[in-house]
Amino acid sequence: MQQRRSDQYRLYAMFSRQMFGVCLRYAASHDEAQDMLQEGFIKVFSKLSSYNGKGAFEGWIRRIFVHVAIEKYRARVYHLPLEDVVDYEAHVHHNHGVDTLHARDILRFVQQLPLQYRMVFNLYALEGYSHKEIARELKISESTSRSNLARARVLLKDKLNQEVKLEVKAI
Amino acid sequence: MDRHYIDKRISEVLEGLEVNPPVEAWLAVSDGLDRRARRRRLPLLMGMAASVAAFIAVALSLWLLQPFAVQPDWMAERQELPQAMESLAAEPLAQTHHQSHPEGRPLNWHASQDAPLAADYVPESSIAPPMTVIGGEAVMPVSRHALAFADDLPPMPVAPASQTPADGMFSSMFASLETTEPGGKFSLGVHIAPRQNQRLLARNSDFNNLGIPFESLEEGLLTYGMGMYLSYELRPGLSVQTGVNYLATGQHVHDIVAYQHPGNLPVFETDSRTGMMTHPQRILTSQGGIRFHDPHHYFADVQSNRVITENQSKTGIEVRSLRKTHEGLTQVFHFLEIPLILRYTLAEGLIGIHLKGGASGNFLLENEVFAGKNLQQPSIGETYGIRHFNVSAIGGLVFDMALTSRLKLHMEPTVQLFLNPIISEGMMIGHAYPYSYSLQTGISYGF
Repeated sequence: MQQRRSDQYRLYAMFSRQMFGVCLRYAASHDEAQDMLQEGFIKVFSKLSSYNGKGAFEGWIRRIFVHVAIEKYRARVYHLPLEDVVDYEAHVHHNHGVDTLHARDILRFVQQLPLQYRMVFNLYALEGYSHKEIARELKISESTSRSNLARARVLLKDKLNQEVKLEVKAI
Repeated sequence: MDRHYIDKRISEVLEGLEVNPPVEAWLAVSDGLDRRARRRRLPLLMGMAASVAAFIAVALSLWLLQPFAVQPDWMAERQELPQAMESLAAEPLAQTHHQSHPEGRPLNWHASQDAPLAADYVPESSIAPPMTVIGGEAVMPVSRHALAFADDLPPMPVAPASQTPADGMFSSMFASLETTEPGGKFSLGVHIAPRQNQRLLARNSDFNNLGIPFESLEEGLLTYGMGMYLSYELRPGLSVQTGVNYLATGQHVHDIVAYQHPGNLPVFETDSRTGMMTHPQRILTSQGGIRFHDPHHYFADVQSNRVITENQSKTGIEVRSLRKTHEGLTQVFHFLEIPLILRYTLAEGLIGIHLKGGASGNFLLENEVFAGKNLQQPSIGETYGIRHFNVSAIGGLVFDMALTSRLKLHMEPTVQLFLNPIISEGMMIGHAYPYSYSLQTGISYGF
């Protein structure tokens, strides 16, 4: 069993950095991300025998972590007011402020998004889920998913612009 | 469709994001895996609790459903009393009271100044139920004390001579085991028991714990035992039993902290030729000294002075890089027990009550030491200087209930005390005599 635990640690050491990055995107805080990391790896080790070798192992692990994030979301979901799709795109202007910011700042902006916006944005923009899939996983309507994504983009754009302005002022 | 520029930019930055998790994160994962393993083993304790609950539930159900007691075998034998005794019991007694029933029917009560008459010398015909019927009226032997309530008593109902409800309830269940003959003098039983282990310290330790007594550094341990036994009835109400049991004793040892490398790398070197390692640390307890065979742990005491560290043979790992993984240790001693016990019947009925006492020889099978309180992990060491043969005294009560004429359920609150210190004389740190409370629950079959 000690040997087995050593092997588990090797696997953990190999993927913990990447998966902690994933957890930080879905969590609102460092502590919450650590909880997700713990839960995710316990699931990985307990389901390891079910990995059939098809597809990349890293992708398999990543899916488990995304599902842990979704389960945590379901457990503590709060109801945001449902809104019709609003054309937030009209308010979005291209801005290359992202280029000038550090990953740490961008991560902070994502973490500061309201829970449901953060989930939808992560699943859509980073995991490549469709709105139909997001609606099924988060138990919301597709239109709500679209609305949340649009709002998340607006919030992120505002934060990025504010940050860039601050940096320009500082210069 | 082109990706939105915000999505694209943010995903480019965050997609390959790698962040070092804190060191504690792995310990949390490791603990979580241990907890999962523990949960899988909970059914053992749950099963023991369920068996106790089942016994109580069955006993209670039968008590409520059955108006008359199951006739125990030893009482049946008493029906074969010598003729002289039987005639004595059947004769009108020194003081016979004739009272009238409130409705005018005569009720014949027999009483004696010797109060225990009713239980001891009841003639065969009146045992189940304990009365005879004369002219349609119940006549029963009764103590003087009962006379005070005689006026309020209705005529005694006559019990049918058929099976008792308890027999009826279980006869189909145990049909394959049943015969028309009642159980004989032998019975064979099995039992399982949760045990709370403690120890007496007959002499204070000479060892310097910085003035801290062992009592405040150690704590009792909950383990379990199980076994089977053969019982022989020497005479009615007195039987002798022996068998073979497995039991575990031990204790938790506090004031010790175990450290490990976050990656579970060995702290001490292993001989590359033999594959063996000599862990340079020893820990003294009231129940022997502990030595380790696992190279992954490093130990330190907190308040006392019990960790003895000999020459270091550490690997290149810095002590500063180690992380606290467990508080305390657990010593467990596994024994094979051969008991010899006398059992004396105090009361019979639906639930019989017996007194038991005896002695046992306890052969040490194995002794283990675990980090922390989790006994499901691999053992990391052993206690040295433990005697391989010990003698213990056993006492307690036995509650049993007949399911059929052959099968009985048992519940036995038992106390066991080792009569010799568990540690060999040369290794003596303190005179520790383990003792335990246990609740044996099981079933026996008479033949």
